[in-house]
Amino acid sequence: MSTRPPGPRLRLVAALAGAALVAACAQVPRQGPVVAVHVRAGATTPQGLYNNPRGPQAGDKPSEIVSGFLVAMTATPVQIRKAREFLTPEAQTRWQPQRVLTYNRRSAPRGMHHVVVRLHGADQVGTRAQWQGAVPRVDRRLDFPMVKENGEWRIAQLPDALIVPRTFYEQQYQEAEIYFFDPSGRILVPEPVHVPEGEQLASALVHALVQGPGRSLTGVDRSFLPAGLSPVVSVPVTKGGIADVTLNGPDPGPLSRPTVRQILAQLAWTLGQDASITSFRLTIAGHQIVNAAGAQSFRSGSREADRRDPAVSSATSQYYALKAGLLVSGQVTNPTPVDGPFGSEPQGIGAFAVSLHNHRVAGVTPTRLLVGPVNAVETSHGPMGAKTVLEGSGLLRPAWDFAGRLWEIQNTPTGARVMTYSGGHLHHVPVPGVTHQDVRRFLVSRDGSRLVAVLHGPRVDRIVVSRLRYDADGVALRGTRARRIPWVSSGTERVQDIGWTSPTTIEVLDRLSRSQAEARILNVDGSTAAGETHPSSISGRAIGLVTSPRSGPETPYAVLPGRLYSLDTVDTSPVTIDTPGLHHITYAG
Amino acid sequence: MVARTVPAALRRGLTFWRRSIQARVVLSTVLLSAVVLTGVGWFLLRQVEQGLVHHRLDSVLAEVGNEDVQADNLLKAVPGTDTDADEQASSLFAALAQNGEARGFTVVMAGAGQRDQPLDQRGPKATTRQSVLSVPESLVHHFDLVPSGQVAKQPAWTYTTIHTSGTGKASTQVPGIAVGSQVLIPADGSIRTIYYLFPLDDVQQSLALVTRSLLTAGVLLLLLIAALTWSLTRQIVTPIRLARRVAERLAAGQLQERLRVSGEDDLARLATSFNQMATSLQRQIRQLEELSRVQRRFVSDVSHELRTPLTTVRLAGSVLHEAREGFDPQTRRSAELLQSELDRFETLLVDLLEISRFDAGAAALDLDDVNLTDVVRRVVDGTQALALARSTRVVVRAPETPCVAEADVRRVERIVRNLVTNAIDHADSSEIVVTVAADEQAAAIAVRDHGVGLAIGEAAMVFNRFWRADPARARTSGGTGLGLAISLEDTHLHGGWLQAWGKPDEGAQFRLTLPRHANDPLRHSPLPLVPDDAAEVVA
Repeated sequence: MSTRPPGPRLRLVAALAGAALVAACAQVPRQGPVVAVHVRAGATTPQGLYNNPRGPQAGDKPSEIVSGFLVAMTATPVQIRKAREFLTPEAQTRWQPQRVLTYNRRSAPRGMHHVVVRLHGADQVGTRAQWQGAVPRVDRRLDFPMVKENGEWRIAQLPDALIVPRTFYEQQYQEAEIYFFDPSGRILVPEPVHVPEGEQLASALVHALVQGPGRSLTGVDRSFLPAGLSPVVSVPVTKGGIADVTLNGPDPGPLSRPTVRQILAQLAWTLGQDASITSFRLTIAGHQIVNAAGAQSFRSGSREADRRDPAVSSATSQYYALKAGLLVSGQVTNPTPVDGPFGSEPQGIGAFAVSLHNHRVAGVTPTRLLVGPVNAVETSHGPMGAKTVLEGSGLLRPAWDFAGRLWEIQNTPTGARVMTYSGGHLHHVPVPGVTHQDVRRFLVSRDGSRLVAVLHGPRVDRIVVSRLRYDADGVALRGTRARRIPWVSSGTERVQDIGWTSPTTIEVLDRLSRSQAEARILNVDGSTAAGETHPSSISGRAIGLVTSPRSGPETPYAVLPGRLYSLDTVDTSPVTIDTPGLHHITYAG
Repeated sequence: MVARTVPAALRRGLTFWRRSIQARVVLSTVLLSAVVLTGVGWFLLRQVEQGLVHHRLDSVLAEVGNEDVQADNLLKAVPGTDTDADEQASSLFAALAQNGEARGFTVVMAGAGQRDQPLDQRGPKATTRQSVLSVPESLVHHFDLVPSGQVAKQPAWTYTTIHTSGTGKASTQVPGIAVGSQVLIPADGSIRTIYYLFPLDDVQQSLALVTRSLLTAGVLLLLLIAALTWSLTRQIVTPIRLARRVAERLAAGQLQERLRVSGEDDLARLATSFNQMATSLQRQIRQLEELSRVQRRFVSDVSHELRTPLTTVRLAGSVLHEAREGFDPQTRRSAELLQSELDRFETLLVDLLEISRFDAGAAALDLDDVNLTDVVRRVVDGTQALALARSTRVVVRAPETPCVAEADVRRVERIVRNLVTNAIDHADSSEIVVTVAADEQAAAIAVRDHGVGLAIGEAAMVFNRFWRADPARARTSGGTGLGLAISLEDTHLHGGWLQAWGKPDEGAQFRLTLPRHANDPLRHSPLPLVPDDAAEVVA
């Protein structure tokens, strides 16, 4: 038999085998060319001002290096990468600027091996981002020892701070609050901080919050965040407004539900100031925090109904006043007497204060401090009447805080005494800088953490603030040394009245003349940024203020004889309300 | 044993393959279907694979886009006064690695500064060391080409093999996608390249599942096709096979065999037609047999009837032939011609009677052990005179040992004589060689001449009755035209072969082969039909 060439059958079998082989080779690829993606999803360009100063130039003189260094610190968004190029490697390692020095103007850098720059109008922000006021005189002179590195001058030593002009600071930094709790953990206490605005805001806020209130505020407020934590480099915010707060540090172990609630409240109120954040997630030492409902994402922002609101939003928003010696409340245009002892018959009180939840009234007569219910309260011995808790002269308008504590300052021949009445007991609270001073007016914040007083001086009045310390049961212990709030009078240098406009700001009424006054808002931390706000001008003989720390329904007014003058900056034209026969008009608190 | 079994099985298989249309149709259909199914399956697999991989790639790139956005957000939110670049990079890596742990990818972060070093020596941060080894060099090289100090504007990706090792199990390798992207660390302005490694094992498993499903479906479909084809062909082939068997029986003479007709379909009609054809053939064959039988009877009768008058004429002719000396020359010549033609006529009559006996089946063998060499020598001696008259010579080539076969010596001698005289008649004065040989099964005699030979096709016709190669050629040896036909009948009577070979101008050879035992089956001949000298020419 002779051999034949491959026939159709053989080719068929070969094709079959080949096809089966190819089919068996249907595999996921394991190698291939590198492909560039043409669209980078999510890549964004920086918003807002952009300033990228140049670095050191070859042959720069020492003064030019220092000048360039000062300019490089004004890079926007805030960053010091370029500024570090002006430093020696050792200085680069040491320089960790956590403070900020601001100045209105500076001298030109002078010197060769030792360049000197003088700052004028310098203030500083501390490592916890808190305002620290004016820089001491000795620190306003900046010394920059210079050395040559590779033939170029570089700065060898420098203050461990970011040194920027005031205008730059005001553009790039903003005032905000971080929220702690009072020692009893019942109410949030805001602490003003000064942090970069924009995309770094959330990181800076969390960074400041995690550091805690600091030793100087021991007994004033506390943080429920476990100690020893530190945030990762930043708090990124997604496009959807979700901030990822990741805190590293030693594992605090399981956190109780109340503690988690307090922590979440602190973060919610703090992050709520960043308009780009709607909610946040929290991870502590690698553990994702969930609330009692199992949620991992929490809404940020302050809530009016939150009982931990430092402005005590649950407080009554009614007006209170005296009319014909009787306590009236309700609409300011049509108030009605309360049915308690102070509304039933005149008690002879002048200034008075109503507790935040409309329960009690404290009023002062020329010789007594009376406390009684707002509305009629029946007891086994009959209707509850007004009770004298203190006798003596020189009593100022009292104040109530969220815990129902009544605060009073009595001017005595030896000076003022600060007292608090709580639980039926009255006790003194030493407040250095206020006690024994001539106090003309005082305020206690609704959260009970701040006492602001107007001290009468020979020529000018001073406004001071003290932080009030408590024990864990909420018993007031003492105040911190009062610190002056810078205030520059445009008129008589006398403070006519003060009132809260927020938990951290006060309104100061300054009478310019008999028919002209102005009201100015000051930050209680003394930062001049707030002090430079435009004052509200008041036409008329202003004699007092009606304000509330809660924004919204409680409009701030200046009290003129027989009428109220609106200080609401939203109103374009002045609004006045006639209040015939009403005296000592006030909100609760 | 096995070596003998396998070829046998193979031979049986090949035989089955050659003979079974059903097997060929089924196998061809299955093979063709397998090719088509394989092609369709391959196309589907490619489509599924591309679809799965592309879908996964899209999701991977979207995922990396999200991670890039998160990295951007993280780095943009870094306080501007933070100076710890390593902390920033570590935090970024930790955030991405945590995401990767939750979303099923691994992350490798490396500095972009050291371009000439392997990735493993660039101080990479990675989820595992295997992750570093899984980043393809081509991707690393891609980012090395980015100008120093600049961040690559676009991520890049490629396929890779991801090495993994779990606790307590051996390392595994799975296909994957590696995506690279670069970020700028705000603290020191350094650039880090982040490699995301996404395993494609889920795609691989899906593809394997689809492949298994397609293979299973394909095999089941092939089995279905095979069964359907087998069933269909069986319905067609079975009647054909029955028809073949009936046809074989008809061919074997069982003319009464018929197909069984059932139904009214095409195959039933074919069977009906087949049966009609068989009936028609049977009728005609019987008519022909009858006619043949009548003819043979006629010849036999005529031959017998001619014998008596021939005897009378023969006596009268002998008288005349013996008295021819007294006749005038012309009359004497006539008397001699008469005697000669009477001899010839008598011989023809004898041959006709012999043929008639064969046709009537009356011929019988008188068997005995016969030495064919002796028979040949006797015949050659007997034809010596005729050979001399033809100027030729008959040579005998026989072995020393006797070539014995069980045969009827009279018939064998008649066969040999016929062959030799036929050779002398056509030798054209050339030498005639008579070869004798035998082996265990058969004995043979070959008569070779170098005369005019046989034309193509004549070898099969020389045994026909009264056949003559050249009708004009004289029968000088006194042949009747029945000699080879009678020889063939004699040979068949022994169960032997009588075959002829010849070529024009190369002579001819006739070979008689007889079984050593009468009517034993013959499988070969001790002598070749084609002579050696002719075979060389052919070759």
